Amino acid sequence: MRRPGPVRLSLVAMACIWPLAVRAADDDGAAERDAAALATFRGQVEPLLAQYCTKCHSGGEPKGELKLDLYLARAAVDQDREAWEKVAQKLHDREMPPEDQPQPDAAAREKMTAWIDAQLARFGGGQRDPGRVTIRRLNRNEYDNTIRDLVGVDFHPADDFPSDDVGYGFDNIGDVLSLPTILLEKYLAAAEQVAVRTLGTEQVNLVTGDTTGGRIIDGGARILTSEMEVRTKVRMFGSGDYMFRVRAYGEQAGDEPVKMAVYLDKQLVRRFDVSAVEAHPQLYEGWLQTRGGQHAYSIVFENDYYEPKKPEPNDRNLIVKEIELMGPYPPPFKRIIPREHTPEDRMQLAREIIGGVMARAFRRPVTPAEVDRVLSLVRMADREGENFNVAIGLGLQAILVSPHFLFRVELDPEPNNPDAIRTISDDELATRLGYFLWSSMPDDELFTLARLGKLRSGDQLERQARRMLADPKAQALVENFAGQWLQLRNLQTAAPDKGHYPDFDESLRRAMRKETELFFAAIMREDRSALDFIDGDFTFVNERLARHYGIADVKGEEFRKVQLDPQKRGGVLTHASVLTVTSNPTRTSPVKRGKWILENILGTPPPPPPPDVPELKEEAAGELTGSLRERMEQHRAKPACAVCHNRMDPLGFGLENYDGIGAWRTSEGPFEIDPSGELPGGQAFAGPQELKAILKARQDEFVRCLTEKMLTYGLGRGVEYSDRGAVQDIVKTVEQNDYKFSSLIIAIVHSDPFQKRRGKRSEP
Amino acid sequence: MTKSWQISRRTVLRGMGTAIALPLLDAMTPAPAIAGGAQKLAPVRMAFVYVPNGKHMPDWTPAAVGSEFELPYITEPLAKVKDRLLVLSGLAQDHGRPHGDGPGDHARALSSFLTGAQVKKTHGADIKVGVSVDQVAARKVGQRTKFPSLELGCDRGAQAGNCDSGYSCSYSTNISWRTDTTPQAKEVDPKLAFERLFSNGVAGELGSKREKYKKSVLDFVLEDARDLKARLGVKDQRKLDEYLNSVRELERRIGAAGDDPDSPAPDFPKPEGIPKDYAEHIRLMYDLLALAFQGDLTRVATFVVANEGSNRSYAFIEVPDGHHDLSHHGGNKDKQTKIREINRFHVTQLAYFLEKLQGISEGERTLLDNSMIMYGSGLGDGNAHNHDDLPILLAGRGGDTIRTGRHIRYEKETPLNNLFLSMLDRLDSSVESLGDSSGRLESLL
Repeated sequence: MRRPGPVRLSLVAMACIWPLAVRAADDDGAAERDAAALATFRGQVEPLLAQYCTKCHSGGEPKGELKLDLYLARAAVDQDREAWEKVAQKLHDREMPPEDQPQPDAAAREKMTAWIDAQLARFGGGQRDPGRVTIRRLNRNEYDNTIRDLVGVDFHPADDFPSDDVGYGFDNIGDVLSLPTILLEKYLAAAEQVAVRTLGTEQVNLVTGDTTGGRIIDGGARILTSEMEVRTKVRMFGSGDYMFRVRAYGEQAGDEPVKMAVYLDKQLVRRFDVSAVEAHPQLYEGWLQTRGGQHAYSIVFENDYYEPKKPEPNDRNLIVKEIELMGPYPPPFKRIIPREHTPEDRMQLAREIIGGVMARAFRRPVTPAEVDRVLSLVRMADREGENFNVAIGLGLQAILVSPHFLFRVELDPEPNNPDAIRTISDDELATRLGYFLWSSMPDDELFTLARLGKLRSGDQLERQARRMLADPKAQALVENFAGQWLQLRNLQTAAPDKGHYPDFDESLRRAMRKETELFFAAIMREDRSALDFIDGDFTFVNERLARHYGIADVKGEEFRKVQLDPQKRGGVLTHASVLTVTSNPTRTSPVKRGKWILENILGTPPPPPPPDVPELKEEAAGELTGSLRERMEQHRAKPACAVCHNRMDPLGFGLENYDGIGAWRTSEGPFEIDPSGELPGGQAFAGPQELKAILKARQDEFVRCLTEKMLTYGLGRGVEYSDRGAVQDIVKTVEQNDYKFSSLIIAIVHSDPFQKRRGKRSEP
Repeated sequence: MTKSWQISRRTVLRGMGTAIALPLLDAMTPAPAIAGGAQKLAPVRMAFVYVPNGKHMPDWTPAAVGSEFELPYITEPLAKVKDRLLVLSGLAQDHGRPHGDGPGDHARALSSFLTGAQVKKTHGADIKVGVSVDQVAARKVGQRTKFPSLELGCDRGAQAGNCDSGYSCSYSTNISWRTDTTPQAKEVDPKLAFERLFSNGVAGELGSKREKYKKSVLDFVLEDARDLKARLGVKDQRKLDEYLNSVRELERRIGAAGDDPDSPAPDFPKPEGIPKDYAEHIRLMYDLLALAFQGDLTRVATFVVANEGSNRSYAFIEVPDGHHDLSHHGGNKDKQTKIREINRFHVTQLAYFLEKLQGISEGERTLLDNSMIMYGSGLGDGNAHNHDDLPILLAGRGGDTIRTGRHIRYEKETPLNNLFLSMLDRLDSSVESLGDSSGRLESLL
């Protein structure tokens, strides 16, 4: 028996709690809680706010238009939740008070944010705020992959699209992805291309030579009066599927309709009942498969009937008005057009095809009215005399340019009510999964589960996530997530100087990227500990990269797994890819490397310097001298720089054994490399291995950082203050599961931000 | 030099002993007579060219003001068109400055450059700047040409990571903003730019059938989008607005093209893609810009030669270091020398463009005479990150409305946007104010 999944349970529970919670303000318990909250506020919180905040945030012209004194008088969070949440976030992130103002200590900050959080938590029926994702346009990768999975052609039309802008480090952020005219132009062109490549638009009639048979009547039509045929020779352009078309009608007589057969090289292709009459000739279309070269193509009248003694009509004849043969058509068209049609069921088949494609393209069930609208385009093409493939192709183009395809739409019943939290539908969940793990649309299995409402039953969601991670399409997560988290994509534009790094060439550039992708993929596919990212003792090299790393006995282009000397290498920090993108063209940059670690490993980017830092003026005391490290240390002697650089630079110094393209070194010019350092707080290390040990010991920070990056990528929005509870839960789950990669993914897909959404708040 | 391909497209007006070539679209929508006079004149065109990381100012700013000035080292390559230039010193783009937002000068420099607006500091949730001057013009006169505006560049947008101190990469890669929240993406591949400009589709019956289909598809999706928009939250609606605007713009273009079925095939080889050689890439983009202006396919353009904060290596001119890295020269003479070489390299490409425009005659004038090409950077010195006394050039005479061949020094803190107001006036696109403008820029004529 299937047990109900946890999410279902909470859904039921939610339905019960929700109305109670909303009414809670009226009952006695709530009144007591209100009184208690007010007491805490007056006793503990208000004095702190008065001490640190209201100096600027009050009066006639409050800073940032935040009138805290007004809120203090009410002491109620319910009416100004957004403002209060912002206050809590700014306090928490130490953005406020500004650095030149008196600072509350950690306990005071905690007191203020805890009170606000507690008040905020009382709303929304005790539900956590799942956030709201802005409608997301497919980005370039997603577009290409979706086309591939939708129609079966993999030809990367998005190569011609303009770049997708990056926000929060990723190029799949709904708020950031815009749709300028140039992109819509490209979408139109791409849709046409897709239609051509999948259905073909070949309009050229290959029947050009002499046609014989029958007797020519009005308008060049041929009448077949006894059992005979219209013949022609046709030159085919190559092997493949061709479409034949015969426009014909019958002079009907006897007890059966005219029978017409289409032959190629004396092989029967297809037989039709021609029930059309002179007033309405019909198109009889179908496919045939053949090879290139000369072929004999004929239309045969099969059931002659002539009984002059019987009353009229007593003479059955076939009239062939036009014969055409077109092609070859691209193989994938049969994915879209599953069978041949007859003149009678042509539009019925069109409806089935369009309805099916639309449901997959829009990633949801579609209404008959929606299908009708597309069908009207198909009919238009039909009226223009297009063959079936082309007519369907026009419908396909409209589908591919529709906002329902280009955007991932999640419709809310109350789009502008921030309190209206809802669990997204199974279809929407399937779509989120697809784009998270595959950068593409859901496959049939996901669609089917969603349509049956079973995606969340039992452990189905976990099973699907595991299945998806094991699928080759999960390579998208490697290329798009790892490519951006670790900034591998920036390798493409890195330009190490030939003079300084004569070893650098394109094959090394490719090998660098490949190494890190394979390493990430290994952690994903073997479900290893995420901590391996920091110090995994293996990697993947080919001959070129092995030479760069000084690893012996690796021959050839093939990448293979090798064990590493932990003294010298291991983990992404020591990958040539990462080391190169964090260097300048002619030298290493310990600052960039340090900043990279803070941002991408520890998740503690250097705090924004205080506003209005005086601009750096030219050095009065002449040039700095010595090794790079010595020069930097002279810089850092300045207190204004030291605050941040004390955090960044030592991390970078720990990687100085790797040059600007990641090769191992022990000296730079006349200077010995000194890879030792000391982090703020006094932790010292002698070199890269010890540095990594320190980072690994800070696994909490690393897992939190990785979670936030993955969640950002998975949701297509920045991680907000209100997500901190969800992040905490995910981190805890990952820790409890030995940091297994899959546990991170599974925890994310089960999290509230992934499962739910709320209405939009008013504009900031 | 009149290119043969223009002839078929142009209506040749004969009168007063002079043949004045007028692009076809102009015949449909009369161009305004900019400097008065009874005779129809070729339209004024306007482009903004951006180069990143500031300049080595001592070798940029001429010593003397007025018409008797020498071009310093960096601008020396412009000697041949010196009489068609204004060097404008002293202009400031105040909103490049933090105003309480902390670091991020590169991101702000680019996105405030043509907007004169404060850039909302965000990783992405609520991107906001202002409408840029080119888009103001596109809105006003863009309907007279096939493309309301053209956006070109050489660098793709960022591929990953954070571009500048808490600012979304949108800000350091986009100069042109159609609305205060919607940047105009730029085309960086000359092959694609060429195809976009010059492929009008298929001629004849098949062509008109395809246009008809395209129109039907657009009608279809327009209805889809309207219907969808009505069911969305406010922020999502903004995204659908972008979509709807784009559909309407394409419908307009198809409508206009329907009246003008024969497509111009320029006497210019179709580029094969992005050249490996950077100089060649820049020149190709300039070539295309010149062709677009010449054929009156657009009158408004932006060209971001490199994204702001670019750390490109210029090894091909013996400057292998990263541009951004170098620009923080800390007073080091060697680095400053390298910076000015990079600056001069870019001006050399500009000279190629301006000379090309100067070589294309339009009646008694040249295309350069009828243009306003602004060239500059949103940072003064890359080390100081200052946003005042910016390096700004204005080339071309705006249809005889600008007296060139001078170096003008404006009072400190004169808004760069004042120049934009004056340029818009000359493009029949006057507005009362833009961004932080405080009035028109004096002394241009």
